[in-house]
Amino acid sequence: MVRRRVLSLAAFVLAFGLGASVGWAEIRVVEPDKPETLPAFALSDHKGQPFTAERYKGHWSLTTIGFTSCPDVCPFVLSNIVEVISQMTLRVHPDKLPQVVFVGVDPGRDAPVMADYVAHFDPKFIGVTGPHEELAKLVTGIDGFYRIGKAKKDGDYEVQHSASVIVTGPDGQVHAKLSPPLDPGKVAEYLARKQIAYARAQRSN
Amino acid sequence: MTSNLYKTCLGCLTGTAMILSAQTVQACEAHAFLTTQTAEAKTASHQGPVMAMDAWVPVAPPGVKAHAAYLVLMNHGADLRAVTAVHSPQYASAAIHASQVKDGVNVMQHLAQVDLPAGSSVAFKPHGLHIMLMGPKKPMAQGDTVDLALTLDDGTTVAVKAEVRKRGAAAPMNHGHMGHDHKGS
Ligand SMILES: [Cu+2]
Repeated sequence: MVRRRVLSLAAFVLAFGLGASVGWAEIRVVEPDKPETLPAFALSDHKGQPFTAERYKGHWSLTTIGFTSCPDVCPFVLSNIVEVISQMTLRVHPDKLPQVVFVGVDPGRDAPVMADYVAHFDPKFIGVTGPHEELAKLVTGIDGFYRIGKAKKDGDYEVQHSASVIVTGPDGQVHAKLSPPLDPGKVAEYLARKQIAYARAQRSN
Repeated sequence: MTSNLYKTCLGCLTGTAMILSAQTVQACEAHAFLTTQTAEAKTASHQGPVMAMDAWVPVAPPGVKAHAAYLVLMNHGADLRAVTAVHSPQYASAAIHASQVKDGVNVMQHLAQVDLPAGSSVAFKPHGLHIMLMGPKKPMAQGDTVDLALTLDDGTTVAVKAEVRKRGAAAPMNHGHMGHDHKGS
């Protein structure tokens, strides 16, 4: 059952540091009024292991939607995330580095190459795909969107997908939505602060 | 003023029916995926006023059949020129695309041409304008060279050699990493 969920998102832009003259100097982030729980879904990771909402628990994650035959944006965003992670290594304990999940919404073309695909960016990245029905649950749960276009004469087809990078916390809930391009330093700083605020809130509970 | 740089062919992107009228779709059937004849690839690469710089192709993940090429085109001439077609002998097809975010959704548009205003430069760069290379005839590895032939509206061709290199490694415009960008707003 796929239901279109409209997150009540408080849209705001957090600007850290100076010089907001170009887009790169700020991070574009949207945070929900309160963290949103992920729905149940059953997908597989690039190693063939089940990938469910449980896999989001116990650690921070960054999730992005795409497809492996995307030449421009998807590799760009994944490389961008590699940079964010490397910036985070300067700020947080290695245990606290977020898990990175790439959701391939073109299962027919994604599944066969997924393991090599994610390893190309970082061997720790997790590539996830599965039946459209299940993909839709996760994608909708992270307030995302995708659509597979009609096949053209040569059999190729376009895939449209939402652009954002979703931040989930150790509670397995959606805490924020970042819009690429991500300034690696600023986003790493934002995520590190988020982790601290989260840990503090947990302790005071 | 970017809007008139993009003579868009919206309809070539299938699955955008929601956004586009049937008319647009029809209009672009005529110039479906643009590929060029190789014959004139040798002509006019240096004589012409249009120069290509910093051409590169990011190493693609293994098995991926869609690659992208980026470069900067400078029109030193006094006249408006346009790139109307792209070809690479190493790929089954090549086309000019623009990645755009529309209402938070990534879409790739096929462009019929890209205008090169006199005395200015146009950057094809990640998450924006790119030359889409489909179907590599052999796997491309770091250090390889991709030959590109860009056809201009005056019939001349600009021959370009693009280096295959890792994303993030020695960025094409000597910018250490992608945290910098020259595009004025
Ligand atoms: Cu493209």
